[in-house]
Amino acid sequence: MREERNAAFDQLLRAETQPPEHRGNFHPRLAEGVEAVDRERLRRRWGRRHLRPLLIAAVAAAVALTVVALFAGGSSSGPDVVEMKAIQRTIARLWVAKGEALAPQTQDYARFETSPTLPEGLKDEMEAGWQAALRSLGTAEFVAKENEGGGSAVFANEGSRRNGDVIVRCETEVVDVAYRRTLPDGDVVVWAEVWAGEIARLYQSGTVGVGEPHTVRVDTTPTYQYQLRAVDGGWRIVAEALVYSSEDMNGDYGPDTPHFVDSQRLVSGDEGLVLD
Amino acid sequence: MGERQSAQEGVGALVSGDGAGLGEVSPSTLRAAAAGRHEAFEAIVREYDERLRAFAFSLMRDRNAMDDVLQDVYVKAYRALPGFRGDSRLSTWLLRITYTTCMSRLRLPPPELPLVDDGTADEAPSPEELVDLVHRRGQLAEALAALPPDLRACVLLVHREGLSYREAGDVLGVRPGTVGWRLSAARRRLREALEEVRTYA
Repeated sequence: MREERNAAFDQLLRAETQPPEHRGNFHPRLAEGVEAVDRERLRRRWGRRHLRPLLIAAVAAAVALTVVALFAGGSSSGPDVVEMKAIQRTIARLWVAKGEALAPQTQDYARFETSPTLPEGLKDEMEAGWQAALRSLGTAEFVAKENEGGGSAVFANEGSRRNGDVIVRCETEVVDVAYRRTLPDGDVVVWAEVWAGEIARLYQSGTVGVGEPHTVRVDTTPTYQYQLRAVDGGWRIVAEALVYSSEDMNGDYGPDTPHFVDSQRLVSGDEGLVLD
Repeated sequence: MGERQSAQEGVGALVSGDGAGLGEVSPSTLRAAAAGRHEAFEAIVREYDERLRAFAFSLMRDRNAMDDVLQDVYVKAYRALPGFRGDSRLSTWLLRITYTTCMSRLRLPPPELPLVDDGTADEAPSPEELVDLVHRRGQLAEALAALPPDLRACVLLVHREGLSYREAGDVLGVRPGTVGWRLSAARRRLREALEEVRTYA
């Protein structure tokens, strides 16, 4: 009898909390949001595909270095705390530069946000900034690899625009840097967990300039392997490779929010690179 | 919507079904949705929409806000489905996303600390006592609306959704014991609210 009365409360509660139906524009908006996620995924796959040649080259270089290390014997002593901080700063500066190359550093979006292309002057400025950052942070080998194929991070903004997104801000943070090993030639290999957030304006119907813009936030915490070389009292990046990819878990934005990290490592061992 | 069906006839076309199911979708549907198949995701939306609407509406108390929250919830769920490992039931997972999204919209951090035991837990009325205090339609809904959102959520999850304390704790991000304390506090407040209404009447 008591159970029945308790069940009566549950039934009464259900009856009194019947929700209203969705409003008419709910379903088109939801379908649009789902399509936007598809576009984000496509964009990430596009990025991974274009990393492939770079990864193949890095695999070859890494295998060669492994062989050399096996015969010559690599050093196991890592950089001290001060050096590790300098390494972290170098990696952080690279990510700041990547963010600046992806999102124009301007407040004047109203002037060009409806255009599928960046204004020429601004694009040149962004490209010049990116190249200057590359030269100051990387070795000539790294700069050459980054410019392979004639593309740069600046073009990702335009590619995104054509998909209906306008990237308006990129934020990055090097969450953690872990020493892996020192190579026989003195280069240091580290793994860096990086949080990268991207804020874009999504336009309805996938057509730039049509309808009300929605803000879309995307963030991930991938892990990258970096090879760095001590040059003129500082550190320069020699090579970069993705170790673990990452996806946002729940749409919350920020380095401390849940992220799915791929369980399949893309780098085998410390140097050998394996394609996903 | 199909794999690449147009946005306008997409999720909506299938969401508008009866939508009152209480079961869980099949693993194959879940896998297909995680792989980006829209029709599978629509099946998930259709399955859980009524429950999520009830939960979101009870917390937000506004139809437009409910729609905004669920828009966010479904997009978040679609994006995060590849990372859903099945550690909890899908319904619990969706309710958790709905709860955190509602709290975020209400600008309230989800409470993490258990309520302090004020020594009056034993005085909490049983559900059957609360039923006796209800004398007209809408009275319980009014009393429920007077509860703080975290207590309201607790009542809804346990009594409307039939979740165990552990499952409700998963949704609310608290320990099962905390669910118990909140439920007791909620029932005490419900009794007060129902008695006030009766006295006034």
